[in-house]
Amino acid sequence: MLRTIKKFFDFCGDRERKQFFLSIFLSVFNAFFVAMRIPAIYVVLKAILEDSLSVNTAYTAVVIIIASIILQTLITMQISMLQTRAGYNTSSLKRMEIAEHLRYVPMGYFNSEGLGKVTSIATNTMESLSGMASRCVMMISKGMITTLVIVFSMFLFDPRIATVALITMVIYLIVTEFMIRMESADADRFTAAQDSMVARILEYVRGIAEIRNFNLFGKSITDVDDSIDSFARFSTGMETTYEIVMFFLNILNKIAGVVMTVMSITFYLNGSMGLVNSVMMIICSFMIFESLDQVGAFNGLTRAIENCVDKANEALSFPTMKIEGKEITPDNMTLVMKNVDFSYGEKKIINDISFEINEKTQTAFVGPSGGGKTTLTQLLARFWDVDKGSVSLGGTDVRDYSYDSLMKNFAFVFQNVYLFNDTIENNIRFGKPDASREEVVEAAKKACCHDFIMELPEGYDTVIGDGGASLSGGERQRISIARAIMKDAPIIILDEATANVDPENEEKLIEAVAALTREKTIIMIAHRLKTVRNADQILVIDKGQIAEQGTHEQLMQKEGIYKSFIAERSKAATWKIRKDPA
Amino acid sequence: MNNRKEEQRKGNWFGTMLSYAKGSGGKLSLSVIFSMISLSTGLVPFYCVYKVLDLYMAGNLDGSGVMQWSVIAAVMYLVKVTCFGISTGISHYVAFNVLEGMRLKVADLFLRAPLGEVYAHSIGEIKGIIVDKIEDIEPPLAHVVPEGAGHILLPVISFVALAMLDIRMALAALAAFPIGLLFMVLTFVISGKNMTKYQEANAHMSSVIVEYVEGIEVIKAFGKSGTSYEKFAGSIKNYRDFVIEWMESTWFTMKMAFAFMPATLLGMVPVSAYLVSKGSITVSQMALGVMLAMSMVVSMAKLEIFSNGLRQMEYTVNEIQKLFDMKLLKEPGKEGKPDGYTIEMKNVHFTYNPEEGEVLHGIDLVLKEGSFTALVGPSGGGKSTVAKLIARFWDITEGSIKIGGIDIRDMKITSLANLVSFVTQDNFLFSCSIMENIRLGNPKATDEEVKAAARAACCEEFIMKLPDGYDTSAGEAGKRLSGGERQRIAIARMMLKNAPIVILDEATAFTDPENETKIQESIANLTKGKTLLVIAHRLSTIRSADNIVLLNDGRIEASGDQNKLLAGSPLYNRMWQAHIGARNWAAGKVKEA
Repeated sequence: MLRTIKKFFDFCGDRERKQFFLSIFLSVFNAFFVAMRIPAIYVVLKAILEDSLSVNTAYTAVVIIIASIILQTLITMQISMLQTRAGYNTSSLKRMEIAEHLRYVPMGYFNSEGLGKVTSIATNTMESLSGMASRCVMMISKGMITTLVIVFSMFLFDPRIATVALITMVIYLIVTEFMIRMESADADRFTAAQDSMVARILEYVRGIAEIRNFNLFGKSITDVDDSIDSFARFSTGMETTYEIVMFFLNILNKIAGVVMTVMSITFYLNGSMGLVNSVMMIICSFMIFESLDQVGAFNGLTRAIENCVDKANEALSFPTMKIEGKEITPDNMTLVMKNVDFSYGEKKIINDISFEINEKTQTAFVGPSGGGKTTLTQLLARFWDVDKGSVSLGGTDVRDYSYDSLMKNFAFVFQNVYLFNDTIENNIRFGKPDASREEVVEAAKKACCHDFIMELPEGYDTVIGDGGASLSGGERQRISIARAIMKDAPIIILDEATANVDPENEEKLIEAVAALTREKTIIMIAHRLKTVRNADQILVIDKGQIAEQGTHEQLMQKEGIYKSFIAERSKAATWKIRKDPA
Repeated sequence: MNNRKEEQRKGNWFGTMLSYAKGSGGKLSLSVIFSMISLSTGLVPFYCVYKVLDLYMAGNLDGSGVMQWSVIAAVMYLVKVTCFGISTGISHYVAFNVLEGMRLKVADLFLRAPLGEVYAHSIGEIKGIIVDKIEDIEPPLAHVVPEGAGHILLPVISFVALAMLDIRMALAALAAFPIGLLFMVLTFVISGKNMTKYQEANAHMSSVIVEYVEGIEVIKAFGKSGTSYEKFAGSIKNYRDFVIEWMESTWFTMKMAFAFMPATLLGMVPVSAYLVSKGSITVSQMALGVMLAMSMVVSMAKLEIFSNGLRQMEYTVNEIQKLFDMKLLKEPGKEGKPDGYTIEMKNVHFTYNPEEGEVLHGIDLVLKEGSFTALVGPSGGGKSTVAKLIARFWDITEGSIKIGGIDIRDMKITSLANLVSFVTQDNFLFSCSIMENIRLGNPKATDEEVKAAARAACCEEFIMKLPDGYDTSAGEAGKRLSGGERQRIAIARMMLKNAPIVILDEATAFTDPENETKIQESIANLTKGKTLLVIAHRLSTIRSADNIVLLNDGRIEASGDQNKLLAGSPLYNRMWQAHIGARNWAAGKVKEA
């Protein structure tokens, strides 16, 4: 428990940590003010027992209680304010830290799964951090300190009874700590059990078509029912253990209360304690463990707090690369790759590759999937940093450029198109923020978007995305091309779509790409026969190396991968389902 | 009618939730009863203290009196804690059973719902519901219900006990309550106006985050990481400032409410002191009154937490319930036996949902047994829908689809599944061995038959390269297999199944071009002699079809063989030219080859 709290405070910024600490400090005062109600009762009881009760006594008691309420209000306001500020500041600072961090993460590192995770951390996790987690940490700290304060003020009345309270508190905290340790050990087993259920469920859902297609109804291959059932059993079993521990904690608490009562009475009877003190102690003994219970109640959430902190730290631990270079405008657009090695994880993907791409030429990468084509184009635009060797643009190493000044020279057409949840106009303008409406329309026309955009209810002002227009894959692709045309970068990197779009769309797509690539340096991952044929340079990439290099004519004269690739492709292109009509 | 159903469900979400596990209602009531016993017995020790005080006042207190009442108090506490343990034990048991019931229900639902409905939900969404959302119900269900019920009851019992002691004391205990309530109402008035603003601010910030993170690739590629970051940071700060300001606006009233509402002692102390001085109650009665009043406070404070828990649970259950309202396919009790495998669609109309309007407007189409039919047309024309309706991904809105003279709605889902093989680009392999994955097509197939199918689907070559050949787990091999290879395994599976009707839904638009000819060969083997329906973008692949059906805007615009369509349909002609044109394209330069 203490470890979790420490972890949480370590995670916070300095200023926020101070605010949190101040709020805990104030909580102690608050505990005093809450406890002021006991003196109020004390005053009255004393008066009654000493037979000196008067209207004044009642006034005194009421004034004490009202003062306690007002002070309590004022101080809890301060506490809430500090706590909310610190909580929301922490989450907003961490959100920005994550965003800042993402700027330095190699672009190649992103995939949709990882990004989804980061999104959820920056939104949901941070929100519960500022709300639930900080409140919970405060409650636990406050509960412990309040109990301590009450116990120690009991020492003023009677050290003997206070000692019992102190011992109980220590045992309570030790057992609680033990339970948390146990829970975090179980957490792994719980996660494992849950993961196994999730895996089964996902397999079941993903394979639902097959399960139905092949009649796997009853004896479902995924055992999904069994896994759900055993997870339920596991959860129940785990919970039962905690219930038993909680049971003993509760007993401890209550029995300690009874013991303290008995002691108070006995001490009074044997004359070692005044009557008033004795009655006070009895009342106290019913109250002091309330704050402890509060600690216990929020205990279950320590795992959730740790989880929040761990997740945020995970998002901040993605590897980074240095992006602050110089603002450089290259003299020419010649790209040179020299003796480049690159590994992803433990797998070597690029093995000592060197080549040169001249300005305004067209280079095609071909080769089997997994051979390294995509990685090569990514290394050229510094989506990753090379492990060995160098990549240079216009004679300067790409690592010497500031990232933004390097990116000015490239435009990309990715296979997966991301459009912002904004108007079509702004999406296209993203390529050149100061572009006029006319320029946007011009680019859209070149990319064959204008016609379908005009058919949308609000034309260029139509918002894309949730609640906005849904566009077909081909249309989205063309908008991304318009965006690239807008940017007007000298080097175009193009990942040719493999999935077939319908013929009409395809023709327009081709026209759009042609408009984009006119007079540029073109680097493409090519899947189509005709695309490759006109390239100035074809690099056949296989197993991380250049297997063959040359123009179409040159390569066709060799008996190599390229030639067989072309033969295969021609055969595939003329294929018909069923040669002879049945 | 839907509305009424919705209303009903909202009213009784709790009962619906419990119905997922048999006997939950009864067990949960038991848990509530134990919780109430637990909290009520918790009051007895106060009485014991009172008795002891009373004895003292009367001057009769001795060691044995103290012991007697202390033991009773201790025993009562033991009962209290035990009952509480039993109560939460039962409620956790119920909660986990309800969770299990809900999960099993989803699993079962997916077997019986139209596949189209299932696919309308993303995997992430489904996982979110089955795993996280359902899990979210556990803590409130296990704790809120029994403990909440107890905490509602306890202040009432305390109040009644106080009233029995002295009605004036009871009323005095509640004196501060209206003041607290007033502040509470003020708090709601102040914060209520801003609640929607808060939700908007939160949604806005979330959308900025989503855009920044999901779009980071584009942002960086366009060299905008600096400016986009500024925009991002701005909206994060705005959100924080807004929330803090909003919360601060309600702090004063809220804290006052929380200070006054449970301030039972405020009225209690002076009034009881007065009563003691007048001699209408004894000092020990006053002490008992103070203890009872203080015990009310704890429960009142906890009720707030519990009402939040309840609201949250209702919200989650209703969210999940939306999934449970999925339409199911009806299955006939008795089914007819199809005579042959000719597919006949008559006046088929189809609507996904009423808001979007009709998608198919009366399709009449006959696919003769053993014939080859191709569906072509612009995207959005309804090709895929027609194919999926034959496999009963959805039920049609009007008209009929018959196979061998039997309406597909009069067949069992399993029987229809046996007749139709549906091949798509998405091919799922289960995490068992490759051998078992193929054998799914026909569980009775011998190893030899499986291997023969694998050979016919051009799989054997790459399977033999895997570490354990056919015994390699598909999950493990999954990362190594390309899309085309997975597709061929799926085709091998279909071959073993040997269904008389084969539907290829864009299965010829391959994911990896290098494997194209192999996939083509395996498809040729799969479709030999079957009733075949193909949806293809590449018109050249279907030019030898017996019947090419051109679908446009949910209607059949033309049909016939390639020559007939080229001669008779301007749309088909355009598509064909576009297809031929596209094949001759090259980037940078447009050249005729």
